[in-house]
Amino acid sequence: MELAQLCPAAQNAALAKSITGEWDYPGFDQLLKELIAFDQTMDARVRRNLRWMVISIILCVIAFITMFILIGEDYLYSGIAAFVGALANMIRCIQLWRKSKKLALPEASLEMVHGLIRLLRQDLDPKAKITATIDLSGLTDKKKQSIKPMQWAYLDPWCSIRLKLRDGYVALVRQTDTFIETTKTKKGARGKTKSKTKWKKQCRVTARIIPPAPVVWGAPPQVDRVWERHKMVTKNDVSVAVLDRWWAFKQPTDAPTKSPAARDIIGMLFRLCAMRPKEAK
Amino acid sequence: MTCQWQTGLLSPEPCGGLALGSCGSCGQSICMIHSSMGPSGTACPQCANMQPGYEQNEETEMAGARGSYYQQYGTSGYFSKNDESSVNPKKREKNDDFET
Repeated sequence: MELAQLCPAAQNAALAKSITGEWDYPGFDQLLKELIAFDQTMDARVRRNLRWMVISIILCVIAFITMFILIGEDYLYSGIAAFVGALANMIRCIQLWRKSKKLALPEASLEMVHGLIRLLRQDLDPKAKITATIDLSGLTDKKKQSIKPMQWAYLDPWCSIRLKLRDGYVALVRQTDTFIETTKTKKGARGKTKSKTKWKKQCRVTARIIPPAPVVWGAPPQVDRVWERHKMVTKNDVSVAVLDRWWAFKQPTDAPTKSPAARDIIGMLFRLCAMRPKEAK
Repeated sequence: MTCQWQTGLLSPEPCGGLALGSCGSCGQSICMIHSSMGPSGTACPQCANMQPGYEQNEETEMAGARGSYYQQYGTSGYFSKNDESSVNPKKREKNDDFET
């Protein structure tokens, strides 16, 4: 799906790389579907443009060598023309690749949000709106912080969704991703410098269930003691059930693209909802 | 007679629509939206999800997903035994804890 084929809201979201506002379920579902389809097209284009860019660089190197051969055989203008043509083609390919890369969106993130609201659609209050603040800009220099020499952290609180359930309770889901980039440099015996970059990604998801009025909560949920924390928070005299969960992903060279699955986040909400008093039913 | 199929995952509620028949496997009353056609006639979303040959739709997918949550996290607290049994006909009981 091309940018021009998207609805105005999806076009704005794709260009601004952020989704902010309130939607009803069908509208939000359509918006996410269009953005996922657009991102799939962009990913295919990035791969294709990357292939062409590599071919154009090889052709440019060949044209550069050929230019000297042709100059030596008195074909000065033909040699220069071949090289300039190959160089122009290479620049154009690089531009196209960079342009398509700029438009690509983080696919795993959108799919997680889409999976989440799709499975919870029957639980939503049909009169209430879904409030979402989703930052799709990914890793930018603004989010970069230096921890220590050759190590940087990117803090990306990219997702915040507020869903009003049909029984009056409100479910809040927030996800913050932290990326750690570590570069190690090694000097060989011949004085050659080699560097290696490693990436770590830590995702923290906070799920909250806010009751419509003060309630007596049931037994705490089952939690994984290593990766999960459960707590109760009082806000405006209302006790709110909170469950935090962490995930860790590692990948060499590039930033990890994996993201928590929607089913795990729904599992968190499911356990918090099991704490509700029976009278609510 | 109303449809007995429980909709939703976090706050299950009976569908309440007009039942047009009953599930050929578990016998619960179901409306047209929550019925799937298959080799043994009409089935509720969960039975259709568990048995081969039935048409699969969003409701059967939802039933399958819901069943996996009950299996993993149980039904302690808020969710009644009938919430679980609505997606697992073998565990269905006549009296729901929370139904009056």
